[in-house]
Amino acid sequence: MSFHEKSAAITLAGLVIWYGIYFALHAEMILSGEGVLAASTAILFVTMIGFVAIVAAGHIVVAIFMEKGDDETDERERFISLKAERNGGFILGVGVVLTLGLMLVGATNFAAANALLFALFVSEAVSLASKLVYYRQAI
Amino acid sequence: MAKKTRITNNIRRLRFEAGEMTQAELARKVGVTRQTVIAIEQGRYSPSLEVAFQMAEAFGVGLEEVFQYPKAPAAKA
Repeated sequence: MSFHEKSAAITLAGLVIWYGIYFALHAEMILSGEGVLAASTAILFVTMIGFVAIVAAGHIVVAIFMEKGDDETDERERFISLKAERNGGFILGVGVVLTLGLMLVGATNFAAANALLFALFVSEAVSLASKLVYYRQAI
Repeated sequence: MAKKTRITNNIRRLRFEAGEMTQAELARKVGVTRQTVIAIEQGRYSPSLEVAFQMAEAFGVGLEEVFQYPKAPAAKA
């Protein structure tokens, strides 16, 4: 496994764990639209810090044990990144449009903000998962 | 899911004939990562023309000795 592949795996794991916990905690509030944005800001802040901390720690461990040249980028790495980011970009676009639809039918600011955050979460998860698939399979 | 490329290659044999060159050594010579050399050898990735020519140059042989593309079956009369 190259450094980039390990990086994608670590980031995906951190994303799913921390933002999975965030959305699980807020699920009822988000779906009912009753939540208050300011009230969940602290939880979001903790989620972001936790995500950055776990991802940074994972990358430091990987960097310590990596072999020379494992972090190099070549045409295949760039091709995989482009394809994966295209997948994530598509999901983000769909999420933004759906959020606009939610707002048009009267969703609260809290629901809209979390819908956008969820779209960003899913798009990043799809992008990272795509990378992991493309590293292993024919592209 | 992308199909495996139809391009075949003799990279493994050529590495062996070139003094048992390792994948890492070939990667260094061509300017790609070891994982890319592995993916090319296994037919999971088709390199760019530039990388393909660099590989041929690394082995000191022509391009078609490194990579082959199957000819289309002759159309039935």
